[in-house]
Amino acid sequence: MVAIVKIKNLKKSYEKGNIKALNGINLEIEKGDFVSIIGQSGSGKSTLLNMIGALDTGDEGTVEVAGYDLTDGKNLDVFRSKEVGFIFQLHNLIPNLSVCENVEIPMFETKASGKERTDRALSLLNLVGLKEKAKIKPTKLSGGERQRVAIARALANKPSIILADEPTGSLDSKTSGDVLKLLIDLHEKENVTLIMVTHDLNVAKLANKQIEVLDGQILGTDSQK
Amino acid sequence: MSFLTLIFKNPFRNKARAFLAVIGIGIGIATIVALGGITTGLTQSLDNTLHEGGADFTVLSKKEDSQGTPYGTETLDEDWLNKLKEIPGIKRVEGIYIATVPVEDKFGMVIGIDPNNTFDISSMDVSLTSGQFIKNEHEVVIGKLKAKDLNKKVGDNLTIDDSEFKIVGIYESGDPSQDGVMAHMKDLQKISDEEGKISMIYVFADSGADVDTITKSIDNKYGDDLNTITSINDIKMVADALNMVNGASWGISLLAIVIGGIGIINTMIMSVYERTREIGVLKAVGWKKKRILSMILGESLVLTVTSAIVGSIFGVIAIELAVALGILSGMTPVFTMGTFIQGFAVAIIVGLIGGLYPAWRASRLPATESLRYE
Repeated sequence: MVAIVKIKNLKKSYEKGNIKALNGINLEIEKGDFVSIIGQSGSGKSTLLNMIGALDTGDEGTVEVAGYDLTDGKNLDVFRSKEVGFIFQLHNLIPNLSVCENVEIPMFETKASGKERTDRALSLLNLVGLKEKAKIKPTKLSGGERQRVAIARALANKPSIILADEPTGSLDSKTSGDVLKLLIDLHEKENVTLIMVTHDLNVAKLANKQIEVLDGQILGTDSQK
Repeated sequence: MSFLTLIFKNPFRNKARAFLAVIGIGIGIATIVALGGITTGLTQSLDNTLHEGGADFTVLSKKEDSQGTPYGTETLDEDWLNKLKEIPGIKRVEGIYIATVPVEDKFGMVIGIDPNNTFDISSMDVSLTSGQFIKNEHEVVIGKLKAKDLNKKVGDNLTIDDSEFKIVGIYESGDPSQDGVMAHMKDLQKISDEEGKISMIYVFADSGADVDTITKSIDNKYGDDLNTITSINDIKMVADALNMVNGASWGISLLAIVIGGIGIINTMIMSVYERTREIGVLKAVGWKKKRILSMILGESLVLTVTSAIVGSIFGVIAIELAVALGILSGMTPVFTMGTFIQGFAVAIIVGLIGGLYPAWRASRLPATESLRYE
């Protein structure tokens, strides 16, 4: 199998080195895999996810994702636009834009025309079961529906990798189950690599592989399936 | 949705703040437009006075020394009319006599004209609304505003310096100085005890004749006694006054830029501050710094250009209202494209200056910190 994420000896510290968020991470994730990163609060799991998504860069070590060398901090916006779809704990939708317009947002950095953007957004909303709500504002949606819109937005530019940071963290268990089912279905249907940060072991167990992080280091990897 | 649609939608998310920002800058723009309308109106009105009836230029007494009003406060002998007629290139000359005398119970400006040798009224910036023009002595025509003020109509008598005159017509004019009283020149000269005197001479050149050459020959021949005025800039006092109003207009523009700029910086910084997490999301989905910068700068411009539209409309309405209420004494404001361009230019400068720092700040926000922002 081809590794889509290759991380070697990645280190990141904050506050002049006093806080070591990542302390020598070595990791490879295969293309099309579903990986969960678990760990306690402050263990470094979200920092690791941010490094994979090029939202931040390390102090030492190398990060290569989907063929992009993210170590030198160049063209990170191009990488994020083309290869990554983010899903956050809080959906982070823009309140004054319609559901459809929110899904179109990532496509502004592509060459798609206005009509192509709208068509793609509508087809993604259809995929997450919200096409009929395309024109309304996200403020009128339930928490689960908002997260489904965020999932559609993450898929907008046909990314090779989806990074989800506690995607069900603010949802009730029933809605959480629905959102996870949708996420896993889309991961399989779209053949996209899914990396999910969670502190919920039950959620983590849904992944093919679990990576446990503690004090900025990988404690161990456990393949489930 | 296009990028432009997004830029148009964003500034009005917080309607109260957008409204206050638009009003703040709009007041500055409205002032610029209103002052521009008054200045241009005043300039054109004075210029019309100098070129009444299509006159090419005006001749005043040298004693005015370019300091006086365009109406001639120093008088000339009527003989000058004949002397000027002999200058090559001059088709005809017409003198008028102007005096400030008691009209009914108040002092007012009265223009004395010779009805046998006067302008073609249809070519003047004056039109009769009722009655007829002066034909004989002891007849007067009065301006519409004056008639309203004195409650007079055609056929009534008008008292000028204890003498009774018959009102034969009522006229209207865009020039406040003319919306007064016109009397027979001889009557007015008698009242003022200045028989044979005139205040100014309108000179009409032959068609195709060079006005510059004519004024030069008058200056050479009679330069010690006469002063030729081709534009209001030749009258220092008037030019100074207009320059002062123009200066005030530019001063207000500058103030609008400074105050409006600070207001817009404040509005846009608040907007960026409130949308920190959203900007983090835009970075996360791959938006380039340049796009975020363009979006915030565009939003700033949308606010200021909206202010320019609102301010221009209010500026025009305010001045037209002042005209309708008679506050501007019958003056006709003139709104030129230049005035509106000045207003919009100020708005765009304010938008660019005020939006630049918040836009730069937004584009530099670190993605991870923005996404963590509560």
